[in-house]
Amino acid sequence: MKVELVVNGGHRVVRVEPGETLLEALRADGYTSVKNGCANGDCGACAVLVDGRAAASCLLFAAQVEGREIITIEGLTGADQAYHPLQRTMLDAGGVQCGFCIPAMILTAADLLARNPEPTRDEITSYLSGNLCRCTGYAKQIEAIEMAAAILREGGVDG
Amino acid sequence: MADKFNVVGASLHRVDGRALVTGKPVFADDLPKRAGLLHIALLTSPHAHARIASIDTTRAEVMPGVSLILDHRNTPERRYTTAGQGYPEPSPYDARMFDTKVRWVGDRVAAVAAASLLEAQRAAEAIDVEYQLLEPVLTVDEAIAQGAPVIHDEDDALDIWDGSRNIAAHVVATAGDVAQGFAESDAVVEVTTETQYGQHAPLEPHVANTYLDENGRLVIVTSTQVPFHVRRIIGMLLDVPIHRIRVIKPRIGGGFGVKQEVLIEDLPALVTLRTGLPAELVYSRHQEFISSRTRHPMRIRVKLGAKSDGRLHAIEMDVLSNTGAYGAHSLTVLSNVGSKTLPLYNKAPNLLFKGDAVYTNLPVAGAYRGYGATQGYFALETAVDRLASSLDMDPLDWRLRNHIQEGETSPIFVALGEGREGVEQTITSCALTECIRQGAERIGWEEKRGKRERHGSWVHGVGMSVHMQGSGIPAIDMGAATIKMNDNGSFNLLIGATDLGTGSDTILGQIAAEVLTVPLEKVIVTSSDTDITPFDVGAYASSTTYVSGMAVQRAAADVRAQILDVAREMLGSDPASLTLEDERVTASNGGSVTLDQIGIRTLYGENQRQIGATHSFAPQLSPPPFLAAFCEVAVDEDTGQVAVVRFVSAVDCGTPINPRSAEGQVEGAIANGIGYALYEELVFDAMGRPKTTDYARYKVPGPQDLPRLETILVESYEPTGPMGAKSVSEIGINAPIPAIANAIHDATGLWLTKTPFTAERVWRALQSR
Amino acid sequence: MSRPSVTEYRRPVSLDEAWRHIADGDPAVRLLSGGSDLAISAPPEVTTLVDIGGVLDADIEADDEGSVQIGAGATLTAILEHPDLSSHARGVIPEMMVHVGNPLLRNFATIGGHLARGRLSDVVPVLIALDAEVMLYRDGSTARMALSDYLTDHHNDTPHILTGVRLSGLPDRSAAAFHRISRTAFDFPILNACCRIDASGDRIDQIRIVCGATPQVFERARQAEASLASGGLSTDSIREASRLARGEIQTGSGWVATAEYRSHLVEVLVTRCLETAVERLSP
Repeated sequence: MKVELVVNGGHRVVRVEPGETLLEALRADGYTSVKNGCANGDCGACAVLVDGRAAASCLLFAAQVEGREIITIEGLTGADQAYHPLQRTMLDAGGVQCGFCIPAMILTAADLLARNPEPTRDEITSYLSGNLCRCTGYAKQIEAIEMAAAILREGGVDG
Repeated sequence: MADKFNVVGASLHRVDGRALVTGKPVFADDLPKRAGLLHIALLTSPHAHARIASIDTTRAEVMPGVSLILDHRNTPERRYTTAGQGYPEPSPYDARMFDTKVRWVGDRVAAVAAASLLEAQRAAEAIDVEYQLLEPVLTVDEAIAQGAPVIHDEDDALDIWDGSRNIAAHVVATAGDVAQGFAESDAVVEVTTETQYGQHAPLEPHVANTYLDENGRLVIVTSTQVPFHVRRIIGMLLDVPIHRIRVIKPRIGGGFGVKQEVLIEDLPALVTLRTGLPAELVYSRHQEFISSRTRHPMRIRVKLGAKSDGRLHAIEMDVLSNTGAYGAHSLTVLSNVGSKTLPLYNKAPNLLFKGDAVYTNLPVAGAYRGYGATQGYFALETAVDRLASSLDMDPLDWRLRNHIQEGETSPIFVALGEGREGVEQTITSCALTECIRQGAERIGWEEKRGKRERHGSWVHGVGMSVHMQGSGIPAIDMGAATIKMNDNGSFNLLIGATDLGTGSDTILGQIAAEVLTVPLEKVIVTSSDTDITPFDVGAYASSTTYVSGMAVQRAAADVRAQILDVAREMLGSDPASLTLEDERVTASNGGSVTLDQIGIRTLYGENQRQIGATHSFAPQLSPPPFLAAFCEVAVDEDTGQVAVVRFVSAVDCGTPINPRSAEGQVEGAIANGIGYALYEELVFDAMGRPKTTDYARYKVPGPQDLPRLETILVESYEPTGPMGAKSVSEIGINAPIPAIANAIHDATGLWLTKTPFTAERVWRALQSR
Repeated sequence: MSRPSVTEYRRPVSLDEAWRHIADGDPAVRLLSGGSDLAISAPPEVTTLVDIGGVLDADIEADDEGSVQIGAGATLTAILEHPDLSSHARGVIPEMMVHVGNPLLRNFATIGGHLARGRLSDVVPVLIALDAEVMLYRDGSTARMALSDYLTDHHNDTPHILTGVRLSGLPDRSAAAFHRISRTAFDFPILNACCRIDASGDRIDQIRIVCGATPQVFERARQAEASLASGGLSTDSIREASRLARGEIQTGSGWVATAEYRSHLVEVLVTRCLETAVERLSP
């Protein structure tokens, strides 16, 4: 079937199987930043934003999100490859090791900060509870999110 | 020490950081798919122990999209080991690509290559296999009992210690006389601990792509920790000369030891060789849990004897290790249980270490961060607390009194190597005393120890543990580095060393940048391509910073000397008077030239030559990093739940090349260790079939399950290491089990001896208190 | 590919059209609403998905009497965040919902999809304790039924579309509390419990003591409820009710926990829920 996906502001008509998940459709369409860590809804590495809310793309059929706005990390990166504050702080804080969980982690954090500009540590860990990382122990990722929240509150866009 | 450096000691952004935070296609499964790509599906055994009586692929062969089916009838019969170790690998050669016998639920039966994964999977389901069931052996006790079924009864396996008794490996090491030692001791304690099956569960599963390049050479792009071992082992297994194989490691999404293995590369490689087409095998999460590698479950008995003043006098350690269905890493992990633990308390002159690694019809245990030390420290560090308790000593003071110090040695260093005799060594850097002091202060040891502070049904306690590991395998590991200079005073650094997310590309770049006085971005790091980069054993045994780092330092020093030679030519100066600083060579008489001027001259000007060097480092020592861990737990006496309230790690890794990176390695290891201590467990039914085959059932810690991990880097200076550095990647994972166990004891009086410390297990222990 | 056996994806524009797709009870046809179990675990016999995400009511509306109508298409996140639900029974709904899965799941999973699964749940014991009703659409008409009846008797019944959940208004002094035990935070419950107390003056009007993940989806501890109703809200009465609950709730053993431990947790969690509910009752 043909499904119109709105990815990072662009309208893409993709051919998908009826039983194909958004994760599969996005990766097949070249958005390899969306990771397959388990395809079972357990690890969060496949998270994207759908209408601004973080979603596990392995739990959505591609057809389900036709016409809805999907953002992957490519859509968060600025023009001229400028960093979103979360991308910069994740590097500054040392929250990136292997990087496999990072696009999803950043997108989920972006969702959090959009609706809660000054989250407590508990609110951060609660909102990120579905994003597993096996490398970092989360400490520096949480620090990065706190740093980015401060930058965003001060009106910084480039971090 | 670190403040005398410009680039080293700075927490710079990772050199691959931009690619990772912007989601560039840098992982093996992200790379563009080649035309004609064949996808591989595996058929694995549903039985824990069986002979393949017959296998019929005729139905499958004619199914849509199917290109090739592999099974024991059409693949090499030679025995080998999948262990990614140096040659000759110190692991039994007991594996075949496809055997006529299956030895665990998840063992290979057949592989189908087809135009799509779905078609391959459908065809795999259409393969008809007749199994002759054999009695499964599911515990080590059953395995070594008289009359147990023999798991490896093949006649062509090599280096199995005693296959008839299912013993893959056996180790003994002694010093002094333990019997006498215990007799002379004033206090003796004995503890037996048991650790469970655990899985690395990296977010990225195993992925391998293969193709024939334009010259017909086999190229393997694989998520591996050991590209050079992959090349050699695949070459040997598939009878392809090494010069006809290229192995490339892209970015890896975590490994932790599960990718120190030639686990899957042989399958797409053989498919490509037979069909001429590119091939890919991507493990599903399910396959990661059932058909890859795990940590060795172990039962370890430790007996300690000490004099009344606390000085340790005798240590006995007896290990029974479950190596699963095949013996990869069986001997070396077993040896490490002792070699990475016993030297820590070198005061005891009487030592006995012995152990057996035993086959069972369960998943294959292999390399997993910590590599035996994790299991060993549970027994040792809880025995230490018990010993201190019996002597009425603060366990912190006991450790201060007994731990190894700079200038000291232990007989274990030479008695226990990796599959052979080890090497004598003396500790040349050790800040453990300071680690203990700082960690204790940070956690509030004096204030909290013994207080059992209560909040509702939660009772608090603090515990500690101390550790050493190693920095590479002495006399066995080797790493090399090549540096060449470009027109503008930038450099290419080519290293075999394998960054699996550890940040080694970055820190090795920092070492080169430091010596060459350039900013990090002027060092272009290329790693882990067997055609381009010089040799490196790969990322394991905490080797990269120390071994590969030293090779980088040597190569950089050589290049620096060449730079000065050219500068001398250009400036006409007396040899002694030149200094290289901030990308400029200055003579004492005031003349100077910049690196880019030197670059232009050497490539295009006069006396042209390529400034460059290749150097290797094969260490004769393995200077240990040290770690003191302090943990505060809260135990809910109503439910048995254990919460880690704080976890402080004070670490001596010599000079931290990139402090945030070093902390990150420690914190990730601690997190993994906490998961293994409290939640993670592979569970099997009575027929050996796995129950925990996804992240829903095998629980790794999420952000809500961990406190804000605290890491204190306590610097020492390792004179034999690059810029004074030692390695740091593994040591953290050994701390949580004993630190948590000791903290639970402080809180409740319970001595727990079996992991994971699940709520029910703790509750039951509380009931029988 | 995730669900290779699925060959048809339908998107009805009305409830009636959706109904016609499932009316003959063909097990190969399944309704799909939010972020979905179906994407990861639809059995191979499922060939047709009927996406009702667009036709289900997703609104959450309270009326003047405090009863709340929740459209089956409301996401778990919407339920977690809705102010009318936040205060219902003194906060038990967000107290529970923050533990359900994780935000990635909650942002798209719908309450209708969740209840239609009828399996291990933290949501169910709370809705049962709140006497929730469900709306079921069949062939042009909507019937209302107690959630408890739906899950016990009618869950696997003739074809239906779950279109809404209704929570009745509660008296002024009504409080509920929820507790759960799991291994890690993001994990299936080992056991959970929800207790609700409606009181007026010294009189206890309603008690609900519900356990879930026993591993049954829910069970009410009726003897415990009766004991508390007559015994009052003292510490001793709470202790007695918890003890009775432990005796009457059937628990089962699995590889994560034994029945014995679960039964122990019944007593612990019921005590905690009752104590918390009592605390919340006081002005």
